[in-house]
Amino acid sequence: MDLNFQLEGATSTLGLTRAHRNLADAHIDLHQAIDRTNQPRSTKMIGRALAELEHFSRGERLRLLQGGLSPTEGDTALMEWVAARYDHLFRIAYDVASIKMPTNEEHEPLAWATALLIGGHAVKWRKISMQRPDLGAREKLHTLYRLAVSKKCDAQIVNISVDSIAVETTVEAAYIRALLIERFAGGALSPRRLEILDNWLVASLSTFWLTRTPIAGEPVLGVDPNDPARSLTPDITGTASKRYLSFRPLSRQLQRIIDSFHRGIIFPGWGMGLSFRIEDHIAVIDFLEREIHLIGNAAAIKSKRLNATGGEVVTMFAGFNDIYAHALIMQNTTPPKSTTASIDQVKLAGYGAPTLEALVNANSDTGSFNITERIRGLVTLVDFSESGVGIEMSSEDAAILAIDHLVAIQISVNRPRLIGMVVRKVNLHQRAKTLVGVKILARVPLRATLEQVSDSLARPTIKGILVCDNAEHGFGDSIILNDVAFKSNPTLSLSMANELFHFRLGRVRQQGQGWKMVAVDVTVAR
Amino acid sequence: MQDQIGSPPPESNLFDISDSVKDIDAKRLRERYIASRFPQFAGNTSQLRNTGEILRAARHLLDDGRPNLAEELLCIALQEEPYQREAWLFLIEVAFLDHDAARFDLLADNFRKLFPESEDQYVIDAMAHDLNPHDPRYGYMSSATPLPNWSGLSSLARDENRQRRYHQALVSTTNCFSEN
Repeated sequence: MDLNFQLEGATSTLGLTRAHRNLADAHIDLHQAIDRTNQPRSTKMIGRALAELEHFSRGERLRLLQGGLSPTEGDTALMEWVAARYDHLFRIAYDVASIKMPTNEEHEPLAWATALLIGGHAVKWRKISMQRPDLGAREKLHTLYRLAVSKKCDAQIVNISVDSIAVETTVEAAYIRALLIERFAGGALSPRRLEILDNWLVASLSTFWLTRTPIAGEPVLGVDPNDPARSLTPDITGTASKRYLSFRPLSRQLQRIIDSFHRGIIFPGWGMGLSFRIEDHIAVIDFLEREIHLIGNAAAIKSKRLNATGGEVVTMFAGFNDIYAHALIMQNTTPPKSTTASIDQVKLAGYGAPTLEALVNANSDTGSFNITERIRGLVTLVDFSESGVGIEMSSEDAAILAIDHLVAIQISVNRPRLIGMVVRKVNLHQRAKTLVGVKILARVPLRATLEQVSDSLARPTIKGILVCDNAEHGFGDSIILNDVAFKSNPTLSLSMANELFHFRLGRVRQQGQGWKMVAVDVTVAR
Repeated sequence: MQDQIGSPPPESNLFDISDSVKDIDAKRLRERYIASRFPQFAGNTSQLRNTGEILRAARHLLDDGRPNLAEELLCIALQEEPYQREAWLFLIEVAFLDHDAARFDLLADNFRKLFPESEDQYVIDAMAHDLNPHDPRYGYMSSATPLPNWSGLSSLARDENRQRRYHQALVSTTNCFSEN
């Protein structure tokens, strides 16, 4: 094994072998050997190179995607190597496919579709390897599509291959898939989930097409292939799109995916997604349902900005136990005599970032939150709205937070600590910084110790965080518990505001690693 | 465990999955899916045959603004035990409220086959007529019918008063910690 060579884009050489170098060299040779006057032959060579890369890297890609929160240096180097290979192949394929032929040639659609397919792979692996997006990639995708449209070949069907699976697509569908990957790779999906989603998109290529006008009553995204600054986005800015993608077909496809699971089948029956946990598939279903809803209501959903200047240092806690033990110590169900006093105490007890011990214990009940490193840097506020908080932290610190993790944040000392879940992670242009998006679950969560109702004399206690909803009927209220407490399906007892309540746990409203936010079903009130 | 590989099912046969999940691996995968998607029913699929529990959970999901999830839960319950009349009626009413004529027809056809003597059939036909006034099958129906409220729940199923009292206690405690 040769560990002592440097590849383009790789920050470390650990895990890379001579075979990796040979493949990279083969791509350089391919780029030089490409005959721009012989597009069919060049396209075939690119197709072969793609198949070789997929065959060679399949095991490693699978292992990398199955990896945990904190990739090793070797894993990072491998991810960057895979991303660099797709990037390079995309450059080669683009060079070949963007040749302007004087007449319509029957091989052109295959060249465009192949380049668009590899372009989608490149966008995806840049995200997986935590590199910033290639700013020129979108313009290349647009150019290829414009070429196909100009020759009226955008709807022509061609055969391509993804990880040895033969797939039929149109040039337009390959373009849409690449743009959707770009949109969905924005930070809300973990690498595993992004791969599952891509499997679904590739298997659904036949359902993708663009229209020249938006379809009334359907959730649509718009795109202007002449505008490199614009990808698929809701059409609410007043700038009209040139093409529209309806999400109704994708919505129907999602229903088929769900039906497959009902029958005990993982859709589409191939791809790396087959090896991933069922929870990851369900998270992608949730994600798509949410996306489709947001797209359908884009004009109506405008989150109100709240009074926060940004750039302030905030206090942050991660994991159920840490939040329960430290963040909400003063937001207890037994109200303190003086709110001011409690805030003072929070101020004294607060700290800028979780301690190592706190993070290690964050999910100790489940053992599922394996923290190996300490958050060292500052956590600063970027954005604060009614529904979410944007915070910036060092990428090293952000590596221990995953999508769906539970966090508590104190924006300022005169505000209660709010609780939320991580929904988005984006590496910023400064390499060492990461933007973390948090969806607010409760603005004033309450810490509670609840008794488990049973016939025995000793009633065990359970830690819970109470969440109050706006709805006056009370059916919107919830409790956050760790997984172990949830699994025991307890009936719980709680004294609050001089009343005693018993309640059962209802449906799960939100969940993440080691925690669940569950509806409260009150059975006794006296 | 070996995961199942295969094509997605045809769209029409949503409620009869008996052929698909005979295989033990497929059955296990389905159970894992249900446990993950509806954790309150994890490890206890017999609860999916408890119509009262299912209706209650579906109603709550509607309250949460998750109609798709409510429908899916009912669909899974009917796959486990098709003779849950109220679950069919719940789904039929939701499809009616969504103006989803295709789904309404599919549900109504299934209901008719399972419960040919049901008195609810008349109401379903009236709803079908409202949904699609030009369908000759329901031409004999005349006026719009009041909604039967099959997707609501009686006060016996959930106690509004208890829930409201809990909420008020929670609000008063929460207010102690709200922003100054």
